[in-house]
Amino acid sequence: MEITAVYVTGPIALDPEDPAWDKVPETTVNLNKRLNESGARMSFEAHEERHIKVKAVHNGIDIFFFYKWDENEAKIAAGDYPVFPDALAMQIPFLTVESPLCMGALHEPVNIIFWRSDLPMPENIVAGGPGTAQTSPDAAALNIRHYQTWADRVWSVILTRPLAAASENQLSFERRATYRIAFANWKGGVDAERGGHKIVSEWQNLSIQ
Amino acid sequence: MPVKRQIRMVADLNKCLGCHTCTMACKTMWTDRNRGQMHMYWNNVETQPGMGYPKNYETQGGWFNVADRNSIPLPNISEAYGSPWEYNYYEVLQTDGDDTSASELVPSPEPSGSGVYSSNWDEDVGAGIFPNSYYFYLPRICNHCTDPPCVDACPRQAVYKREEDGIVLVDQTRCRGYHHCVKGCPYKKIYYNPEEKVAQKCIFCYPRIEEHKGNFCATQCVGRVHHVGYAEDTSSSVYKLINKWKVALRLHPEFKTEPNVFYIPPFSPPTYSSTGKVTSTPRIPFEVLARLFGDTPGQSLNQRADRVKEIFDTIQSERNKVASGGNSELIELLIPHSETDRIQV
Repeated sequence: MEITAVYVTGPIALDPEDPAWDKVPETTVNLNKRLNESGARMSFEAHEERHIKVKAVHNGIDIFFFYKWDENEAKIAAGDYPVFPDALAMQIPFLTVESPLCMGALHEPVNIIFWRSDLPMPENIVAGGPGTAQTSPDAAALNIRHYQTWADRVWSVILTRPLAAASENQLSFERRATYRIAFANWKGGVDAERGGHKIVSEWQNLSIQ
Repeated sequence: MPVKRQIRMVADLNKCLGCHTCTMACKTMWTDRNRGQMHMYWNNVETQPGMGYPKNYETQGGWFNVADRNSIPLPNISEAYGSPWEYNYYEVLQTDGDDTSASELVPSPEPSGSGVYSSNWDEDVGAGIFPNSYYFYLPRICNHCTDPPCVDACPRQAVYKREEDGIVLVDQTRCRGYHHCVKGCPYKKIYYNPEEKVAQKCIFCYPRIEEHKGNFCATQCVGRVHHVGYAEDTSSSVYKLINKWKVALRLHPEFKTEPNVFYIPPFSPPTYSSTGKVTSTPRIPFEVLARLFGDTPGQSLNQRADRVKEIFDTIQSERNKVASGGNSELIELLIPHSETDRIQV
């Protein structure tokens, strides 16, 4: 699918009601690749219908991604031990045009923004293959802000960061460029999806206006 | 990666009096300051036979001994670990006035719910019928296994076994809190910190080991239960007890992890017959000990029971030797006079 980060002038609020979103088309991306990539070797359903609605907008300074997906019950781990929270990740090849879909590879790393319902802020992650995801340790990479709400059985999550990389662990979004982008979703719950147990999309295209 | 040497511990269960000093030493040293560690007892002492900590861990299996790893349950705090509790000492022991309404010592606050449990909830309950009832104490730390299932279960290599001494640690910056290690460990000696969102476990007091001091549970033990040393050091008391005298067994070797904490099984007083006569049968049945302890995964229950008998025979004959004025290396080992007698690190 083609996702376009539409250019608008002026400030954009971290708010689903911001008028900028009215000017942005919504793209529905299928999450149809089931991964069980871990030493746990757990089994899940082979195929499942899940999708995510994506909007992207920028004002030349900051870029915003608005994600919506169905979730019958919000899982925000806050209480007992084996409850895993709902989560979402967006992944873009970091140094290369294309990287292996499953967390990149050693010389084809990926830059990931990882949102999880219980975290105080999204994480900037760099990975070079399965099992190598590493949250960026530098303070400069703590520049991702978010908005999240769960209502009417739908998660709405907005992620935003400056277009320009603030850290060596971040890619820069260039205007008039196109990036490969993929998404991952974790349906939380007791002993539920986490880490390598997730559902992901194929590579999509993200064009920055 | 093979380790250069392997640290080991032998706990002599004949000397464990269930005082929990090791547990408190460990708790005070490592898990009473940071958030999310209240339920963690890197060292705990449980009554056997009993449900253990967390509840029924012995029956849940681990990475190498279940057919379906999905089936391994994850313990939760409210029902498997349980909340801390006390007895209603104040109500019972305060003697103002004539109030006798609370004369019975009961847990307070009383945990409720069908799955009620807490650490040492079944303390001293044991098994058997009076006058032949029995129980014993089993102190447990991470076994720092030769083939650690927690290491195998982690998809991120966050759990690792140190090359220099075989101590198993969790890299707190690599861990992303997936709990696979908690499932993997059949002894449930790896805990999840729900506040810091990472797995944490017994570190065998490695900062102390690096300074050639014993781990804290061992040095604080008033019963001098523990022996600590390296498997390869033939002069160490752990080597002599495990390899030379062969009086120490592994806890649940059938879990196939090759634990490096060994136990000398406990003697017990004789049973009484139905007519009140003292018999020659020990109160703790051999099959109870055999279900817990053995040498290798392949041993049958009978073979394990035979090994327990053999150990009792060995210790008894050495005791007899000393009682009749002779010397015994084994008895010398089992009566350590100083810390250096039992800890060689």
